[in-house]
This record gives sequence, structure tokens and C-alpha cells, in this order.
Amino acid sequence: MVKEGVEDYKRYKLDKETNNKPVDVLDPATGQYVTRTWKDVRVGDIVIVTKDQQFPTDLLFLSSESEEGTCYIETMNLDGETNLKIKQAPDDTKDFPKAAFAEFRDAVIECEGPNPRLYQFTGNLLIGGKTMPISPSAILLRGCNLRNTDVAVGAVIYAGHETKIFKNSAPSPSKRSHLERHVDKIIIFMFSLLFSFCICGAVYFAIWTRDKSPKHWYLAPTDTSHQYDPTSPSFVGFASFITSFILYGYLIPISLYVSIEMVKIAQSMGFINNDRDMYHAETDTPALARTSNLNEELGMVNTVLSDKTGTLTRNVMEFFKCSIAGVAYGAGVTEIEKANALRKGTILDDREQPGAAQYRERFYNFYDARLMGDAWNSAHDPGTVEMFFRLLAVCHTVVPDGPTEPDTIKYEAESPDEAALVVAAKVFGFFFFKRTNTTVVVRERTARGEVDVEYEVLNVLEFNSTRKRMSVVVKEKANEKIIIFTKGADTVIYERLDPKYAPNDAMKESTSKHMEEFGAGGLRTLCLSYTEVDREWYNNTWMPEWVAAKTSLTDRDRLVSEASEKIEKDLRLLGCTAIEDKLQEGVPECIRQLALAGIRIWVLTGDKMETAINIAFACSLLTEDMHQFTISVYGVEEIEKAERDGDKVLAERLSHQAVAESIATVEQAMNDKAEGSRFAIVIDGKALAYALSKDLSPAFLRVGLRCKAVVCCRVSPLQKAQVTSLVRSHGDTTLAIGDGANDVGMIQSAHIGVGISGQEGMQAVMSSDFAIAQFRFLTPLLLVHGRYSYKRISRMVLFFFYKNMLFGVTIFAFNAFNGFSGQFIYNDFYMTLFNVVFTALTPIVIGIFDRDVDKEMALKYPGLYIQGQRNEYFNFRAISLWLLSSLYQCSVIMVFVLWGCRPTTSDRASGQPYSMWQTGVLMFTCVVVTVHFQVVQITETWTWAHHLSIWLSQAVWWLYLLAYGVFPLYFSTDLYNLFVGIVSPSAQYWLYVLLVPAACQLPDFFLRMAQKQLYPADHQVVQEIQKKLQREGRSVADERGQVAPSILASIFSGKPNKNKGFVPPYDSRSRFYGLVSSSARNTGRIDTGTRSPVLTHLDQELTDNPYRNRKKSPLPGIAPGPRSPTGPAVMPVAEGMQPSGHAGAEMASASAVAAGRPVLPPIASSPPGAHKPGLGHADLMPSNGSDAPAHTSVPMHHALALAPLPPRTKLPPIHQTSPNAANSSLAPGAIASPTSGPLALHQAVNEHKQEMEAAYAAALR
Amino acid sequence: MSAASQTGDGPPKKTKEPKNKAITQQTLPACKPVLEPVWVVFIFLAISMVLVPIGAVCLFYGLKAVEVGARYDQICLPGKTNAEREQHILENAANDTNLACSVTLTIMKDMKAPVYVYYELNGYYQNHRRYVKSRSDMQLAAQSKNLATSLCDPEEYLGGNSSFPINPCGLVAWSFFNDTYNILRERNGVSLLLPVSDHHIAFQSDRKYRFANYTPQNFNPELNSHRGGFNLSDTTGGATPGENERFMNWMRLAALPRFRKLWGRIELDLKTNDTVTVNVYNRYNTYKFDGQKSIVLGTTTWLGGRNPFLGIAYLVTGGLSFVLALLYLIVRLAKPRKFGDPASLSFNRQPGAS
Repeated sequence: MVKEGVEDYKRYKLDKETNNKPVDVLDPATGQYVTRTWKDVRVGDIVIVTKDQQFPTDLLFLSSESEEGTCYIETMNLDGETNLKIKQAPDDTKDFPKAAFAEFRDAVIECEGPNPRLYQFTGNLLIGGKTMPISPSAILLRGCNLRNTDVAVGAVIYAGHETKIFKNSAPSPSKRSHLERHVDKIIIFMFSLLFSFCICGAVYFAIWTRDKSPKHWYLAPTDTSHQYDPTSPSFVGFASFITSFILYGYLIPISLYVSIEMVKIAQSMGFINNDRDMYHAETDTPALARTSNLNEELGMVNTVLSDKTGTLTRNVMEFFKCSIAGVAYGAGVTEIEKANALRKGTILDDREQPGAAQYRERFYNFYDARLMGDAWNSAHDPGTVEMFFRLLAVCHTVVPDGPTEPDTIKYEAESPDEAALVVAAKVFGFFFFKRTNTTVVVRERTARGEVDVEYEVLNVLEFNSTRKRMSVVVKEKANEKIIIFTKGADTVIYERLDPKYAPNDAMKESTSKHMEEFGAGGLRTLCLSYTEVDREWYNNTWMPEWVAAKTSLTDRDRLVSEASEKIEKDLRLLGCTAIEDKLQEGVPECIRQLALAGIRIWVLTGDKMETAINIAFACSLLTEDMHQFTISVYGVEEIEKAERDGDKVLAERLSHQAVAESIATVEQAMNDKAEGSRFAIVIDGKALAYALSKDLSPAFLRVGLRCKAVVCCRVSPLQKAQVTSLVRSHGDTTLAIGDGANDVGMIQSAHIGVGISGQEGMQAVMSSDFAIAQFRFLTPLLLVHGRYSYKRISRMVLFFFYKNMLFGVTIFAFNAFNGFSGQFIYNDFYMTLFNVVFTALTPIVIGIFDRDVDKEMALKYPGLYIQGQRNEYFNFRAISLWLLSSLYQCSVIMVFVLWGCRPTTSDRASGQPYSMWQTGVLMFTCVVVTVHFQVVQITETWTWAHHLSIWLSQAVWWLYLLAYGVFPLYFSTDLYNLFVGIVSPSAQYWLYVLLVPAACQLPDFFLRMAQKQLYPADHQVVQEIQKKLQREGRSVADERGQVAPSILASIFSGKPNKNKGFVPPYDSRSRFYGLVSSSARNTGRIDTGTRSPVLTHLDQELTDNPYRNRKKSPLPGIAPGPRSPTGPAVMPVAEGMQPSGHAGAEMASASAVAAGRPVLPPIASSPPGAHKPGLGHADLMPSNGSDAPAHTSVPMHHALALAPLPPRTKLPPIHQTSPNAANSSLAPGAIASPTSGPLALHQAVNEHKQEMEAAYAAALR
Repeated sequence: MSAASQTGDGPPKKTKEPKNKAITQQTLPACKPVLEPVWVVFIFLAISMVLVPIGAVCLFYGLKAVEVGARYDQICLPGKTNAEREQHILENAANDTNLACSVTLTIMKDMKAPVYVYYELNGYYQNHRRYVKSRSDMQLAAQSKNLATSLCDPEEYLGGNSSFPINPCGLVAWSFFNDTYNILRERNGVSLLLPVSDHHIAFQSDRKYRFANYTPQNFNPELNSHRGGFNLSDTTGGATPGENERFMNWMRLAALPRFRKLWGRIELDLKTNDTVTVNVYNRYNTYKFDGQKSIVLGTTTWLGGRNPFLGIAYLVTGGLSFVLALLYLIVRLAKPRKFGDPASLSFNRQPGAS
């Protein structure tokens, strides 16, 4: 609690600091810019942000005082990417100097209500009677920083909690571990035990007092005090209950929570944060446990849900191979190929060629003598090669930065793929070094010499996941030729090739072959093409159409896409590129170990299916011996036909049906397979959307849980979170690992969230519970720390309950002999010290230091982890065994001590019989010693800490007795001179101290040993193996298979032996490691009935991860999916849904109150109440079957839902008014908080989760 | 948690690399006692080997001591029920001789001096919370600090009058056992009144530290109405708490409702076939609560009085250990398992995993 208090205070300080940051704001009254604090910024204000400052609110970018009206921003806080993004002010305002805005009196911004979509913005700027659309590229979001730009002027559109970053933040859920929840249950059990003890005692005592005590004259029953008044038994009972409650309170281990907290902090701060195995030297990042609550949860993980890019792979794109004019270039060998070859028993020569070193650089790992230097001039078809390189240098959205020298220039690219292509062009001699708003300048080194060529960029036809291609239309300044360069997925490009252009056909064939090879090697491929455009046609026909489409307020997407189609045609194929996204070090081995540890792995990736499968094979996730099922709705004829016809409802229904059938088929196939078969499922995002729907999710979960691996391709961040919640709803312990902002939802909804730290961005780390630098560190985190922590804490907790039960029951049992009067045989002082001193240290030592097997063995035998998954240490059986053992030992103590030392026998030559306090000391000694004997039994290893705690704790008890006995009488009362004078001279005392613990522990010991003999637990076997190894003189570390670097190597490398962190052993013999040939894959797969030859039919797309290309993808939280050109549609999950007619009415009211419709001062009064239904609301609604037409059985519903759908763009234009239009007295820019905002992401997730759980429960019934 | 570590001979470079310490790397040197079956059997046998001989010795001495006793509360008084007997002692409160009776014990086995004389009460809750609390140790030790009698409620003031504080106060002192015994030995027809010493019958530490010599005040000036509770006088063991060792023994509470207190010591041997007649002044009222009173003569060894329990407990536990050793051996032989055999790992037995 103190911890939380401190955290709250820190947060408060941080809030205050943020609130009081200064920013320059235009004061409309005076026309001057004044400095205000962030908290005083209001919607409609005009603010100035200077270089490297953060944007205080969401701003409409008005002007940057630079020629082009652009600025660069860094979005690290939003999406974790460090590359700069370029923002463009609207044309009408970009030339205004900042002072001009003071005169800016009649401008109005119309825009949608606050919503969490980071990459979308719909709104218009009304200025000077003109209405201009505002593109998302003119929006500066809070949380970003201004870079490389001196000043940016913006108008506040959303402030405070309405900003998009706030709308996106869900309070990170407080996470508690399974174990702790179980502890609560045991505590409740203990409490009920306590209550029943108390009630028994109180009732008995009340009756005894009423009926019997008047006869016991020596208790002076006539001298009534209320507590012992025989005439009022009810009060006696009540008082007795209170007394007993305090007395038997020892049943409840109060110090347990404190001890757990201490132990957990030691585990996380001491061990996890300091583990050299999880230290990444390259980025100087140690592991970080951001919470100490979940240590033991790490030992119980059943399912790991992993992001792919940046988590499994390094997210470092390298230009690796290419094919130009039908000739393949590049000799590199990918990891996957290496693995594949190794599996077949050959070793590929992957040594770098001698000439390659000089060209090696970031983003570039390519060497082919035929192309390097100027050699390409004499290569096959140099003209095509030249065009190929030119395309690489021109067709992109990269921004150069820094000195314009080839060695020093830096490229700011939206995706690392693009950067890789531009760098490749540079190396090939097409050095792109300057970009203005309208031009691209390339220093071309051709046979004709080196010249700077300036290309005027006429249009950029942007990439999106429907188009799967990107084009630029350029005009070469020198010769006025208009050329369109297009790069994209092969299918898309091939469709648009010029059939009349002769070389195309020949090239198509060989290029396809190369692309297939590249793809099989795990490379990301792109197809490149170009063509010349007729100038007349361009200027007169196409350009006007394009402009019209671009500025259209309605149906803009469709129009733009149609216009694009018209120019991207009759292309000439150039070739293809292949980019490698390298796996992180040790990933396959790590995954293999996790698989052996019984952990299911779900990879949730935005990649297309083929890439995902390749990567999955490369990292050992999918293996040859698995039965692999594919669920997809692509390539199903009926669905595609329906989609072509625009019949959304039908397409939906068919898709839903298809997915349902697939899942059923898969389940049937699984049932038919032999026991112990290993399964894997590959599912794509669209099918997943249906699989997650209310009625299918239980079946999907059933199927998924039987798989060793599940690969979900093309999933959205929201789907990631939904899948996580689905798996979690089953009761599995889930761990989500990711590196980017798109993984936040997943990380938060899993039991344990792990962020990849040390790389770009902190979003994932900030919302995670543990942060590690590399995926492979998951192995030590789970198998070592998780396992240890789980065992330690469960053991410690059980020991706590055991000892308290033992102690508490002795007190209760003794009361049975004194009429439950509440007398105890122990002295108050040492009773209170039982938990605090005499038995305090040992559980903590168990919790911190005990380790059943060395960590090397834990890593070598990952199967040990299964114990934690099955919760073998803290299940009902374990708990009840401990408590039974406690009861048994308690009864031994009671019988031996109370009968053996009954006050009718004497224990000494001088004849005095046992007295009460003497028996008490003896009994207490027995309890203390027995408890420590138990520790001795459960201790797996003996370090000095164990010795210290066990022996010291017992010694302290006797020292206490000695010391306390000599304290003055008024202080030590009963104990005064008791030990020295009475207890210790008795031989019987010592004999009992020897006997009772032995009698207590013998059966326990026997059962443990017999169990070990008959049904050895895994860790016990491993302990024996470890012992054997030690006996044979081998160290355990050798077994890990790590060869220590030789001394020579360390001398010549010039560095001291560097700790690289944990690297899983590479086991070449493993049958899990390696890639499967595509034929094997095909035969191994079972067709799931959707007729989806996925690998061949799957649409390719330009970059395989739509989220990396953020420009077109919606924010994390709503699913990007192929945007249908026919406009909004009811599509589950994948696409934002327009509200249906009846739902629309509700939403209308919701969006009417959605405040924060900002204006530029002064307000243009516009009628309130206009709204844009559905935005921000429906987009967030996951497909949960409620209004998504996922039900095949209720077609009427769809009809209802669809019929009144107005296309989004035909909605009445919104009129932005002041936040509270009704209250026109509000000052310009006054902020208003929304009374009801759109559903926030987490709400949607939660709702969905509940529904899924309910559905699952229903399915189980 | 960042730790600065020096790498090489360059200037100290700040890194976050964790230090290589055994304690944080969890590689503390440790001893792992992994018990092989032979060790398990050995441990069981060793425990057995230790416990059984000790048990034998304890049993021997536990049985060596002699004990003889008889219950007298029923036979000493006329009347069929306890109520009638109680009536009798209350009526004869003034006349002790009417309460006298004699109990005859026959010595079956030689009893070497010292022979201890105990009275045994049954059904008497000395361990009742109210009873236990009602005393003042400080007052008994005559220590100046905290002499208040408030702890002694309800026996704090005589007759409830606060001007007569009781010393020693409290229920325990107030209910001091007041039967007395004369013991006659008859050997070969010769009868001898045995001197019963009340010296050194209390714990030495009690005599020394806990009870002081002072004159009691307002302490049971007369027998209380229940016919129990004794005052301290020279004739019955000593006039002050520090002198009266029977009082000290009474004040040492018993843990269970059936208990003995040492009453005196006979320094003469008793022989087999001796008859001991105990003349009891049966004053103490155990009839009201249906208690029992006995007189017990006993000898002790170094291990204490007659009590075979300890020896038997040792023998049983040692025997159990031996049986467990055999059981373990049977288990071991019936289902042998190779030590450290990876094949016994559960995840190796499952199909599908390697």
C-alpha cells in the first residue's frame, strides 16, 4: 500500500509538471503571442511549438513559416518509431507568417468528435468562404515532438482528455497472480476455520459457564464479572468469541503478505533485474521487472502470444537479393535457407565474399559482382537495370536528412523496407539526396557519367492494403517525359503489365520463379515496374480527374482508387527486390525450448500468411511433424464473387459459414488423429474476425488450445487483444510479448505483458510487466525466474499456512482441556513472537534462495516447467496435503506433550509434577523445532542462507528463553526463571524435544521418499541427474552446451569476455529446427474445406506488415483491413461499421454530445446538433455478433442493418461549433469535457471479453 | 539498479550490466542432499537405532519408580451422593475431627527414600482462564513494583471491602488446598508415624525468587464458605509464602484438570508388604464440582516418577522408523528405479515430445 501511495504521488507530480509546461498561445484580444501553461490551452487556440518541443494538444498544422509548409515530427510516444514523419500544412495557410493568425477571424474547423483513431481524421477547414478538406497529414498529435523544424503554428482541435493519445490510453489493468488469488481463498478458508473454532469454543464455554461453573466454587462464580457470569450465558459466549478470535488468530498468517511482498521484491529487483543472462550488451539493457506482483505467474504460463516484427525478428530490413530483367542477383544465404540445408545435412557456404565488405552497411547486405560498382553497365539488359535502380531511387516517400554525402546521409523512412531500397539505390550509384515538396533529386552514375537529375514528382499514389502497390508519377526535368514508377505485390503488378510489351512475358516467368525462391527463403519481395505516360492524356484527362478525386468530400477513397487504376496500367516489368527481415538471435532455439516446456505459442502478426508461415517455420514454431491446418476465407470463389458483386451481406454470411465449417473440420480432424499428435493452425485476420465472433469463438478456442502453435496473420491490434482475452478466458495463463504500440492492447489484456526494451519506442514497455531486450531472454525469464519464483512462493505460502495451522490448532486443542475458557498454555510474549521472530526468517529464505535444480538444468530440461503450468505445487491436492500434514503433526505434539507431560507425572528426581508453563515451553519448543525440521525436509538446496536461517531461528528461541528468564519478574512473569530453574534441568524436556519432531516428521519423510521412489516428480529426477553429473565430475554448466570462448579468441577480439546474455543452445540434431519444403508442407496440410490453396492464392501486398506503413492504416485499436471501394460496410472487426438505422439513432445522440468540436476563434456560429453518426463509435465495435452479421441464421438482421446505411461520405457535413454550442456565452476556445465520448478501446475489449467468456461457458455446457 | 562496472583498462564506463555476483546470479554455492534409496534406508535405520535404545532406557527407569495411591474423597465421608458429602463437610466446618478418615495403602514393591507424598485432584480446572489470571506474582515475591492487587480480581479485597486488600491475593491463593495427612507405617505389626517433611518440595527457583517471607494480610482468616482455601500457619507448613512450600506448589498451576501436587517427603524406606495408613483431614470441598481426591506415594528416578509413556513413545517411534525402513525397502524392491534416469521424466514418457 505504501508502494502504491508512493507511485500515486509520483504520478501526481508528473501530472503537475506536465500541466504547467509553458507554450506560446495567441491571445485573440491583443493579437500577441503569450506564454501560457499547458493546462490553460483551450480548443480553438492558436499555439506555436518550437523545435524539439512536444505538442501540448492535438493540433491542426497551419504553418511552419517555411517555404513548403512542412514540418517533421517524431512519433515515438505514439507508435514507437523513431523515424521522422513529414507533415504538410493546408495550402491556404501554409504561407502565413505566425503574426498573420492574429487577424484570422473567420476561419472554422469542422471535424469529427474526439476519437481514438490516430491515423485518421475527417474534417474541413472553412476559410475565406472556401471549404478545404483536412488530410490526416496536417494533424499534429499530442505526444509527438517537433523535429528538424524551427517552428510550427497550429490550431488546437482536441485538448486534454479529448486528445487522440488520451483516447487511446486505457488504464493499465491491475494484475494479480493466480497464486495470490488462491492465497486469498486459503485465507478465507482459514478464516472460516477460525470462525468455526471460535463458535465451537464460545458455545461450549457459554454452556459450561451456565451449567457447570456455578459448581466450581474456586472460580468464584458468585463474584460475577460479566465475562464469566453464569447467569448470562449469551454474553459469556460473545465475550468468549472475541477472546477466542484473538487467541486462535494465529491460524491466519498475518505476516504472510508482508513476507510475500519482501520475497517478490527480492526476486524481481535482486534476481530478474540483475540477471546477466538477460542482459543485452549491444543495447546495454538489463531485464526489468516493472511489477513485482507477477513473478510466480511467470512460472505458470501456458500460452505465449507473440508479436512478430521486432519481437521475433529484428525489424532491421536489409536489401538482400534482387531479380532484374529476369536475372537473379545476390548470393546471400538466409537464415531459413541455412536452417533448411542443415536439416538436410548440408552446410551452405555463407561466408561473405571478399568484395562485399566495402558495400556492407545498414539496410544493405547484398553483393553481386555483376552489379557492383559500374559492372551493371555490362550486365544483361543494362537499360532495364538502370530503370530498376532509378525506380529504387525515386519511387518512395523517404526523406533524406543530414549532410548530402553518400556516407553520412540519413534517410527517414516510414518503413524500414523503403529505407533499404533507397540505400540499395545509393550503393548502386543512384544516390537520392534531396527531396523538396515537388521534386526528388538523384545523383545518377551511369555510363554517361555522374549527373544530378531532378525529377518533378507530380503525384504520389499511396500504398494501402487494398491497392497493394505504390506509385509515383514523375517528370524528368531535363526531357519532360512523364513516367510512372510502380512497385507492389506481384499479383497486382502482373495484372497491370502491358500485354503488348514484348519482354514482359519472358520476364514474368523468370521473375515469378525468383520471387518464389526468395519467398521460400523468408525474404520479403516487391515487384517493380514502370511505364511512360502520354503527356497530353495526363495533363488533359487524368490530372483533372485526379484532382477532383483528391478534393472530393464524398467517396474520396473510391474515386482516388479509381483514378489510380487509370494510370497504373500498361506497365513494364523491371524485376523484383528481396529484403530480409532477420530473425533475432536465438529465436528458433528459444521457441523450441518454450515448446518443450509445454507452452503453446500464438504468433499474432500483421504479415501476410505466406511470410508468416515462412517465419514460423524459420523460428521452429511450425515443424514438419505437426498437423497443420489453415483457416482462411481468401480464395473462396463464392465469397469473392459476392464481394465483387458488392453483396456484402452474402459475403459476410458465406465467410462466416466458411469459417464455421473450417473450425468444425479442424476439430473433427483433430479428434481423428492419434493421441499425442501435434497440431498447428494458421488463420488469417479476416477469418479470425469471424472466428472471434460470439458463436464461433468457443469452438475456435477449443481448437486453438489443442495446438502447439497458432499463427494468426494480418491481425489488427484490437484482434490481438481479443485473441489474448479469448485465450485468457479459458483460464490459461497467458503471456503477451511485443515491442510496439500495436501490441499494447495485447500486453495489457494478457496475464503477463512483456515488452521488448532497448529498441525503438517505449509504448510496449511502458504498459508491460516485464521488459526484456531480446525474445530469447524469454527462456530464462520463464524457465528460470518464473519457475523458481513459482516454486519458491508456492512453497513459502504453503509453509506459512502449515506452520500457522500447526501452531493455531495446538492453541485450540489445549483449550479443549480448560473448558474453552480461552486460556493458553503458552506465554503471551513468545506466542506473539512465533510469526515475527522464531519462524519468520525461514520462509523468506525459502522464498528467495531455494532452488530445486540449478538454472542450467532448468534450461536443459524445459519440461520441468510443466509442473508450474499444471500448478502442481499449489493445487488443491498440495494445499490439503500440507494442511493434513500440519494436523497430523499437531496431533502428535498434543498427544505426546499433553499425555506424556500430564501434570500427574513428575519429570525429575525431586518429584515435582509438570506444571502448566513448563509444559507450555516444552510444547512450544516442539512446535518450533518441528517446523524447522519441516523446513529441513522441504529445502532442496542448502546455501549459507538456509543454514543461517534454520539454525539461527531455533537458537534464537532458546536464547530468548534464557534471556527472558532473567528479566525482572514484573516483566517476564510466568517465564521468570522458568527455563533455567525448572525446564532445562529436566532430562525429559530434552528427550521430548528429540522425540516429538522425529515422530512428527517420520511419516512425512517416508511419504516423500516413497513418492519419489514410486512416482518421481520431474524435478526430483533432474536433481538426481544433476547429482550424477557432479559425481562424475562434470559441471552442470558444461551440459548447457555452451562452449566458453577460447582465451585466444578473447585476446584477439580485443574485448574482455563479454556477457552476451542467455543464448539458447543450438542443437543441430533437433528435428524441430528447420524449414519444411513447400511440398512437404502441402502434403502435411489438411484442406479445411474452404477450398483455400492459401499459399498460392493469397494476395500479395506491397509490404507485408500494413501496420508499419502507418499512413494508411488506422490506429491500433481498430482493425485495418482491406478497405472496400464500395464504401462502408458492415464487416466484423476488420472494418469499421456504420451504424445501422436503428443503432444510428442512438449513436447520433452519442455523437451529438461528443464535445470538442473546435473552432478557430472567433466562432462561426453554426447550428448545433449536426453530427456524423458512427464515427469513432462503430469503428471500435468489435465483431461480437451483436450487430455484426456474423450469424448465418439471421439474415433479416443484416438486411435491417444494411439497408439504411448511408455511405459515410454522404452524411451531412459536420459543422463544428464551440464545444457547447448551446452555451454561446463561452469564451472562444473554452474547453468542454465530453459528457459521453465514444467507446474507448478498453471498454470495447472488456465487453467483448465478457461476451466471449459467456459464450465459452455456454459452449461448455 | 544500474551498476557501474569497469571494463578493461579504459576509463570507467557506465553500463547497466549486472554484476556477476553469486547471490544475484543465483549461483550461491549450495549443498544438495539428493537422497539415494540406500541413504533413505540408512536414515530410517539410524533414527531407529537412536530412538530404540533411548526408549529402552526411558522405559526401564520409567517403570523403576514405584507409585501407590488411593482415592479417598468418596470413602472418607458418609453419604451416598456428593451433595450429601458436601453437606457433611460444610456442617462440620468447625470440627476437623469429624472430617478425619484413614486410607490404607499396601506397599507392593520396595520404595526407597525419599518417598514423595502427593495429593491428586481430578476435575479441577486450575487452567481456567479466570483462575490462571487471578494472581499477583509481584505481591508473592514482595517486590515493591506493581503491588496492586487489581490482577487478582475477584479475590482482591477481603469481603469486597477495599480497605482490606488481600495478600497473597487472587483465586489461586484463595483456594489453597487444605487437606492434611498423617502417615503411619505398619511393618510386622509395628506402627510408626512417618515424619513427612515439607522442605525442598518446591522448585528451588520458586523458593529463591518467586516467594518472599512476609506475613499474609487478610488472607483466608477463616475457611471460606465453600470449605476450601487454607491460611498459612506454622502448623501447616509455614506462615509466609516464602516458607510454605506446599503453597508454592499450589501456586504452580497445572495444565490439565487432573493433576498432582507434591505435599511432602518421607525420608524413610518403605518395604514390600508394609501397610501405610494415611489419616486424612478431609476438608477440601471437591464434592461441589464432583471432583476426585487421591493420596499418592511415589518414588522417583533421575527421569522422574513412574511414567512408562516416554519410553513407550520412544520405542514406538523408533519401531515405526524401522518399519518404515522395511516398507521403503519393499517399495524399492517392488518398483526399482534407476537413479537419475532421464526416462522417468514425465515429459519424456509422453508421446509427441522428445
